[in-house]
Amino acid sequence: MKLNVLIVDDSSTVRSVLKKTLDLANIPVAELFEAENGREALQILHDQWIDLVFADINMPVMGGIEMVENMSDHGMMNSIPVVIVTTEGSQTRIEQLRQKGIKGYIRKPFTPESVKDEVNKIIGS
Amino acid sequence: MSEYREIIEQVFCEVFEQMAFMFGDPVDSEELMTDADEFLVVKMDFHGDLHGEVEMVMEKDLCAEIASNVLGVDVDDEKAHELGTDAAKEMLNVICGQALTEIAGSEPIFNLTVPEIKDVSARKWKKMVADKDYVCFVLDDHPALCRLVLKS
Repeated sequence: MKLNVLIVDDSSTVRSVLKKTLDLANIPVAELFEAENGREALQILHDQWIDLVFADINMPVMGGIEMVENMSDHGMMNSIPVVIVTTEGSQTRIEQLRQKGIKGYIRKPFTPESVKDEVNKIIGS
Repeated sequence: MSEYREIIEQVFCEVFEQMAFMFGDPVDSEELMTDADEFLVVKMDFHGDLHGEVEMVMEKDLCAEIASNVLGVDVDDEKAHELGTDAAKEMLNVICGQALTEIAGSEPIFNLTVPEIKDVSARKWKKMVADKDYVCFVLDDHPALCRLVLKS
């Protein structure tokens, strides 16, 4: 099954690298959407069918945590798996985010293998 | 002298090697040579169990080289120039996150600000090189500085 993927990061560099990494990891992508912050992402999630979201935590306008909290309040968005891609290494933070509903966590710098492992855990290999 | 010199030396080199396939060597300030006259500083703050800031200073031209390596495009590619400063910000973002884990462990939560960029004059660059708070590097033949400062 090919996936509609949304990448949410204020850095164009990270979005480009993650796109390339999905390709290198052989993740089957149907359509790829990009957002620079959580607010833009929520609009895309409202308008498009998305199977998987990769999101940064620290972004201007609306960060990843606020975005996940907003998604929890919307029935349809609530079930879309979110993978947090961040430079932060706090296990406490990760646990808090899991309680808020995130399904996966990838620490930067990431590799195709680490991305593939996380996606497989969520979507299935 | 930066209290966390060894951590900065290690993390800076590891992050550039892993993300940009660029090799950094910590050096003495006297070993830093450059003909460049345009520099920039990338800076971000962190808050939590510890408060402070992390800075990275480099030649402006190095940004495109970083972006080209991170993105896997030619250094003359338009995208490398367009995303040069963005790539430099992302490198600092990752350096900051890795350094804080090395310093404080994996339990504390830190809030990181979005990295900012400012121009640095050649005169200011020389002052920064002489400032012992900065750790000096040669990064693929280019000079670079990095420091982590804690605030009370």
